[in-house]
Amino acid sequence: MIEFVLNGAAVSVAAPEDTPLLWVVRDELKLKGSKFGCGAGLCGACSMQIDGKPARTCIMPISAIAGKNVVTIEGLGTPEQLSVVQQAWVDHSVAQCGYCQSGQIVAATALLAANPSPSDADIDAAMSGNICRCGTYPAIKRAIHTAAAALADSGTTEALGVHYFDPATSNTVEVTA
Amino acid sequence: MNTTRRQLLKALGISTSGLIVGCSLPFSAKATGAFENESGFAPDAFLHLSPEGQLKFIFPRIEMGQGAMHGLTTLVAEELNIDPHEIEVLHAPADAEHYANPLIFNMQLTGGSTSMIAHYDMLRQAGANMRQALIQAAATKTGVDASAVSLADGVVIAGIERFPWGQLAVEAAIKPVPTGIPKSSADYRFIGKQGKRIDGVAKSTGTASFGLDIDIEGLHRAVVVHCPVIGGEPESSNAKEILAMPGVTHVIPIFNGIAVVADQLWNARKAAKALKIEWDLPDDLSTANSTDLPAQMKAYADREQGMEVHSEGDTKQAIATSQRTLSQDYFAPYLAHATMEPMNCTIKLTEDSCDIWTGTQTPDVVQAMVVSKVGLDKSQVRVHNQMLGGGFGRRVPTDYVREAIEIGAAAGVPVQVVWSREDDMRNDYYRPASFMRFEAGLDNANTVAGITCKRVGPQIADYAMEDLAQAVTASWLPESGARWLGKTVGGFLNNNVQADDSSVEGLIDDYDVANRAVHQVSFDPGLRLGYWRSVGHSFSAFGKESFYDELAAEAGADPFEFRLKHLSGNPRLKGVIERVAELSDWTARRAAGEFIGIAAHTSFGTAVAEVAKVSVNGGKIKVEEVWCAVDCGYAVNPSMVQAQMESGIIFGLSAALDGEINYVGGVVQEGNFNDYPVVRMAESPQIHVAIVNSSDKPLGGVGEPGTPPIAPAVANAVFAATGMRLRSLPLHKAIKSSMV
Repeated sequence: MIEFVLNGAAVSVAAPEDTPLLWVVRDELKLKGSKFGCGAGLCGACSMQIDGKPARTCIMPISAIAGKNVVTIEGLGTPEQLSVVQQAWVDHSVAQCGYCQSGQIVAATALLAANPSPSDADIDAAMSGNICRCGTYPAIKRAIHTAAAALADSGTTEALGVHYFDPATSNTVEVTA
Repeated sequence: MNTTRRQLLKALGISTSGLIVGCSLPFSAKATGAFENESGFAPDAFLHLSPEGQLKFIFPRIEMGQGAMHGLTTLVAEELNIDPHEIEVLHAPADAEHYANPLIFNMQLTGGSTSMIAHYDMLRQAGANMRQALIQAAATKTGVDASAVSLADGVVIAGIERFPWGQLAVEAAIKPVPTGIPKSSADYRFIGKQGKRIDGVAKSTGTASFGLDIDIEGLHRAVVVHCPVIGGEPESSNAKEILAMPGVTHVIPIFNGIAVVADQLWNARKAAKALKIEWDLPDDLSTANSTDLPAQMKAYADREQGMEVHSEGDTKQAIATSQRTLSQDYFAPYLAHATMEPMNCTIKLTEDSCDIWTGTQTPDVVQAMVVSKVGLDKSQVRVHNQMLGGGFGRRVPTDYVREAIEIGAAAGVPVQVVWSREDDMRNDYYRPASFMRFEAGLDNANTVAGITCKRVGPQIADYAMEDLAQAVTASWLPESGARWLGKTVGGFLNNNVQADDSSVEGLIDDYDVANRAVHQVSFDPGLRLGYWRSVGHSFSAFGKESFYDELAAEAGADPFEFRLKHLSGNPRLKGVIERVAELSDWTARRAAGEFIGIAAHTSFGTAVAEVAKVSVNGGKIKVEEVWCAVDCGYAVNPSMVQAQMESGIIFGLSAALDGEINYVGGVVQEGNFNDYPVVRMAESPQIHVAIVNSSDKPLGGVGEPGTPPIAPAVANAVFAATGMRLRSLPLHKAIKSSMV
């Protein structure tokens, strides 16, 4: 059994330890928000935060996750409590088919946590790991700028996600609404 | 559609009768379609109001990102004066009787950029009728005259009375449905305005459900090892050894490979890797190499006259007597769809029922396939259509559904078939490779006197027929029989009666040229074909718009001015090309020597013109900026139209720069995003979109029309930058060959 923290809660999984984290989270833990796109770490649809950093979970065996903090799209926000990035996504109608957007939002959230006021070039560099076949890139860029402005207004990075990883305490912290 | 094809479809059991035109829907006060067993008020198969006041809309098409769900919901929201976000929207069940697409042979098919124009009038009328029914019920209930009754956000306003509209549901349901009058545009609250798409929250929180997300009690997962050459069948294997591997419950030979079924996907995948299979390969395709294509197609163009597809005037005469003539050849390769979500299908099959969960553009064909393969009645087969993680035409064929049916029937447990990215890339229904030889004559006024195009390549309809035939032939008909039915009959029609329109569309249209002709020369290596976003236009616009650019150069004219000169008979395309020239500051940028290219093309009822600005360094093309003007008649949701132009441009740009499917001995070489690269954020240009409304209602779609112009606009910009004419796609490959 491998134990880790998922969206702030301790979990224990029985899957064979070479099973990629993506399939454990989706099929054993039943969180379907992170998606399968390529199985080779090339498209970013499977992105989750592991100890605060975005990771390609389709090629990450759960043996490597023991004791770590994992935050998925479900941990960043819910329909009732959208994160500032998700609100910007909704306001700009970013999603078209929507399949890649969980990964895009995880990547955008990580970008803003590290760089609250990114330039277009910063966005290009940070977001080029996430493929979108519907071509929502221009809308993503607009939404990231909006989210950055909203974050600047709020004066805190808490709005980035309902659950966020606090490197100071190595814990996933939950923001109470 | 010609008579013989209609007859074939009829033989296959696909109805082509009963074209629904405008508002002649069979309305009744009884619940119909998906509302068969629900209480409340359902004036037709699309709308339902519960006594609790919840308005439900059965969306007759499938949402694949194109925004049709939001668009069609906007129409009923407008008529019933309620925010689209307040409406519960559901995908239609398999039911072509109620949810057919009147523009596509009355099949329940989503495609051809038809969703908005197919349903615009009928849904506005449906909404207006429901409104009128509720108003009349309110008038009866309150004694207030109908003229003083209105609906606002689910509240009935009757004189000074206010009450929730749910209170009218039961009363309205027992009266005949009246005919209402759709709202005047002066009163629009949603149509033509900016709005947030209704599926945005779900898709931004990971709570939207796609086919792959379905999970039910006792679900097994299946991995299919496909024959490396499409169309091959398994002969023998080490299946017995694989059955002993951890978690594996079944190993099942199916029509196109061997399926490994297990308790978990990862166990199935590991076991599948250990499978060794001897294949019976298809004759033609297993000897074909894509590197031979350009030369082979050119040889056919040199040798064959082909079948005349279209002819106006006298092109021979016009070109022979021209001041100057020009002839050029263009080439476009096979392409994969590469939807973000790989193919998948979930099936729960019992003795007397079947539930299928998948994303499909043709739910009625899915249902028909279950009926014919398993022997159940239609009433026992439920298709639960899920949001598509990308369609682009890939979800029209039902091959992945057929796999699930064969596996589910043999395994006797609920099964989800999950394709890998490699499965998806190598078992596609590809955009056909095409060779286009254009020839034209310029008169002494430097206008085009005559133009011809000889297109060499395989025809999509052959494979569409084959796929349909598979769906409706019983399981006892051998594989070869069903394939014969489709390919031979379809092929006969396409080669001797009339060429497949979708394989030759858009080659010589748009401009004022009295003498023009298209010939189709059939050449088919045997790689399976399908409908790829913008279909024939995806390659024909590249040929036509590159050629017109070369004609402009021959005439010593500006590319924009030259095209404009030939558009007096085409006011909508003229409108967008003028708008894009204005938007992009075309004349000023040209004068300043900027590297820009222009292209204009009409497809699916919509006129689009694009200008691309590039920089070229060491063989690398960077598209910096794109300007786009679009006329779809009328933009119901301007932000959706803008999104579809951005989408079509970026999708087309991936293909234009790097898209190419290669095969060696019929084995597709590309497998994932490392060898089939697509545009990412860093390569995505800044895009400016201007919408030109030439009407008060939609005249064309927007899902596909943004794609055709981008490849030629970029190629023409590269010419401006380098003096090199790139006449084959993908452009990065062509530029490398030109530089050698």
